[in-house]
Amino acid sequence: MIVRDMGVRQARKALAAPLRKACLRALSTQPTQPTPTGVVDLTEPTLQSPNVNPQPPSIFNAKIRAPARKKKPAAPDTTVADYKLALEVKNYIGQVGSRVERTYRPGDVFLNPPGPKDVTLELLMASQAHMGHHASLWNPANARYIYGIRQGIHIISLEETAAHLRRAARVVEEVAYRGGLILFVGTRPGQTQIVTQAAKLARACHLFTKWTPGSITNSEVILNGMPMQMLDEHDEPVEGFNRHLTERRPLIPDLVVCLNPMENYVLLHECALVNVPTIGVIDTNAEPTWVTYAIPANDDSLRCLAVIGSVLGRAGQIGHERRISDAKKGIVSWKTPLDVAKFMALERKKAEQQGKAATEASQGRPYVTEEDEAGFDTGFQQSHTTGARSNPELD
Amino acid sequence: MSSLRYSLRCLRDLRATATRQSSLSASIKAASTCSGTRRTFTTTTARQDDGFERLQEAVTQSPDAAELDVTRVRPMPLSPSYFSRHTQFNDSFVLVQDLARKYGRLPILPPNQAPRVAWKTKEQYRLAVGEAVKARDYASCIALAKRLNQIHPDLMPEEVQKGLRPFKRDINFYLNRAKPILVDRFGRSHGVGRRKSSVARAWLVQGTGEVLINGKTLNDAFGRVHDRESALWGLKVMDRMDKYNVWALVEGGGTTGQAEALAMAVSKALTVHEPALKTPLKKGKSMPYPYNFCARIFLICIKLVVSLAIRGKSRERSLAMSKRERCPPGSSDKTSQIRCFTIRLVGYFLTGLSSRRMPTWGIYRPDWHEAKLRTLWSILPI
Repeated sequence: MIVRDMGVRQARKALAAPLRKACLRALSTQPTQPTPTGVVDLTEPTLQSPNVNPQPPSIFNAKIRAPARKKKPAAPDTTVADYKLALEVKNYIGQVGSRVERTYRPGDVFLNPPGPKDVTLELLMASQAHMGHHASLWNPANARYIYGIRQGIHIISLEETAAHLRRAARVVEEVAYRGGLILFVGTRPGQTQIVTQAAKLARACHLFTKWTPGSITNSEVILNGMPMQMLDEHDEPVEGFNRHLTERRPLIPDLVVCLNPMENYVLLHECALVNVPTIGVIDTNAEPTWVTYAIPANDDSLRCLAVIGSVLGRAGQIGHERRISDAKKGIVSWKTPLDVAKFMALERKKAEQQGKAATEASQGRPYVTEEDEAGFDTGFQQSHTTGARSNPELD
Repeated sequence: MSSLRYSLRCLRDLRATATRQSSLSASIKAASTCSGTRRTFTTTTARQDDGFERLQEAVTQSPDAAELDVTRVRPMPLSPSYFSRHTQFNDSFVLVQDLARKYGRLPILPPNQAPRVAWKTKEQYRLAVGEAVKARDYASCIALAKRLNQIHPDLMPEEVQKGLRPFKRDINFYLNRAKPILVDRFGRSHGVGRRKSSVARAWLVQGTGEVLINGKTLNDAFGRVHDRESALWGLKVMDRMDKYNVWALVEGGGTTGQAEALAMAVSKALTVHEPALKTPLKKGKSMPYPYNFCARIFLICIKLVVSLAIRGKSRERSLAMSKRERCPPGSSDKTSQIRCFTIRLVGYFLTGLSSRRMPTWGIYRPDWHEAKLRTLWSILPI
C-alpha cells in the first residue's frame, strides 16, 4: 500500500460513518433508526419501520416476487400494409438507377430451363460440367471422354459431353413421342428439385428417395396396388378399366434417366435385366457400361445436373407436345400394350354375349338384367341399390 | 395392418379411376355441401375425401361401357412418385417444398403468434394415407409445413392452405373452448375434479361453512386430518371457509384420491363464484403465504448447484452416480446414496422449472412442502 494514501483511507473509514450520522441527525427533524437497547418498543407495529428487528436471512422467508410483466401497448398490425407498400415502392423505383447485368442466378435454370437447342459448350463450361475426379480415381473406360489432366484432376471433354447430351435428349424426346414412361432418378441430397422439375416438364416420373431394390424385377410385390390410370392418344383418362387396373401388373419404366449412377447400381442392373434403356451422367470415376447412353459430365455439381436435367426434361416436353399435336392430326405412333388389348378383346366378347342374351330374353325368356350375369361386383351393386340382402347365399 | 393397407389401396384405386361422376351422385353431393355451409360454427374441417362415396361412385359406374369406342389405351401412373412407393406423401412433400420456395418471402408472424394447428403425427399420417413414411422425411416435411403456417394470415395464399391440409388433423382441438360454468338459479356453482381414480362433484352455495360429502359431514367422510384439510384446501387458503356451503359427491379411488379430487372440484366451483380467485388458486398461491413457491424452489436448486460446484463435488457426484448405476442399491456406501438421491431431486426440480410446469404443481401446503424441504436441506452436504 502506498503510505501517503494510508492516512486518507483509514481516516475516512474511521470518521466517515459517525460523522455522516451526526450530520444527518442534525439536519433531519425526524428520529432516525434507534440503536438497539434492551427496552421493549411499545409503539404500534404499523408505525414501526420494517427494519426494526432484522431477521436473520432465511431462504424460507425470502420475499421473492415475480417481476411484474411490462405490457407493451398494443400497436396496430401494419404488416400487410407495409408489405404492399414495399411491393409498390419496388415496382416504382425498380427501374431506376444503373443497370447491373447479372450473369448467373442459381434459380434461372429452374425459372427458364434450357432445352436441347440451348446446349452450348459455354453453358456446360459455366456449369462446371468439365470437372472430373482426381486422376488417381479414374475409370480407364472413360478415357475417350477425357480431355486431359489439370492440377491433378481429369477434365472432361465438353465436346463429348455436348454430343452425348444431345443424343440423350433425342432418345428422351423419341421415347416421350412414342408414349413411353420415363423415370428421372436423382437420389443425392439437393437433387429433388432437379428431378421433379424434369419430370414435370416431360410428364414423367421422378425418384428422389432410395430406389427400393426389386421395384422392377419384383414389381408385383413391391409396387402392388399403386394407382394407375388409362390414357388414350390425347392423354385423356379413359373410364371402364377398373377391373383391368386392379388386376394388371405394375408398370415398368420405358426409359430411366439416372443423375447419380454410382449410388444406383441396383436400379441400373435391374433395368439391364429387363432391357430397359438407361441414360446416366458418367463422371470420370464411374463405370460407363452400367448405362445404355452415357453423358460424360460432372455428377457432383448440382448446377451441372440441373442443366442436364432441364435439357432432358425439355426434350421430353418437346416429344410430348409433338405426340399430342400428331394425335390431333390422326397420327399415333404407339400401339396399345398387349395385355390391355387382350383385356379389351375379352370385354368385347363378353359384351357381345350379353347383348345376345338380352335379345333372347326380350324375345322369350323372363327379363334378366346385365348385372345379374356379370359377376361378383355387379351383384354387390344390385344388393346395394335394392338395399336388402337379395342373395342370402353370399352371407 | 397389411389387410388395412390393402383395403386403403383398393379405395385409392377406385378413387384413381373414378373421375367422372354420375349426375345422381353429383346432385347428392351438391345437397350435402349445401347442408355443410348451413352449419354456422364448427371446429372440424370438412373431410377432404369421402372413401365410401368414391366407392359407391366407382361401383355404380358400368365397368365396360366406354371402352368399346376407344382405339388406343395405355396404362400410366397416376402420380409422378409412382416408383417411390410413398406416392401420396412424396407428392405432398414436393408440393410443400415448392410452396416453401415460392412463398418463402411473404411476411411471417413469430412462431408463438401463428395460428395453432393440430398437426398429424407421423403415426397418424401413416395411418391416414396407408404408407410407411420414413420419420426423417416426415420430420423435414412437417418442419416446412410449420414454416408455411407462419405466413401472415392476411397474406396466406389459398394454395398454401390447400397444400398443408393433408398434414393437419381433421379436428383442430386448439380451437375448442371450454364451456363456461355458470351459477344456476339456486345460486349453486358446480365443479368437477378428478384425482387418481376418484371423481368428485361439488356444489357451492353462499352460506355459513357447512359441508356435506356423500351425505356425511367432513369429519365422518374423512378420517385423516390431512385429508380433511386437503378436501377444502381451496376454501381454506382463500379464507372462504365460513362463506360457502359445500355439498359434494365423491366416488372411486381411496381416501387420498377422493380428498384431492374434492379439492379440485371445490376450487373450480369457487372460481365460478369469484373468478378473480382463479389465478392465485391456479398458481398455488395462497392468501397467507403470498410468495412464490416455485421461485423459492428455484433458489434452493440454484444454491445447491452452486455450492456443489464450488466445493468441487461435481466430480464426486459423477463418481457417485456411476457407482450407483454400477452396483445394486444397498451395496454402495451410505453417503454416496444420499448424495445421489438429493442430486436426483434437484434434477427433478430443475427439469420441472425448465418445462414451465411449476406453476401448476398444485396448492402449496406449508406443512408438507416445507417439511420435505427441510429434510432435503438437512441431508445436503452444504
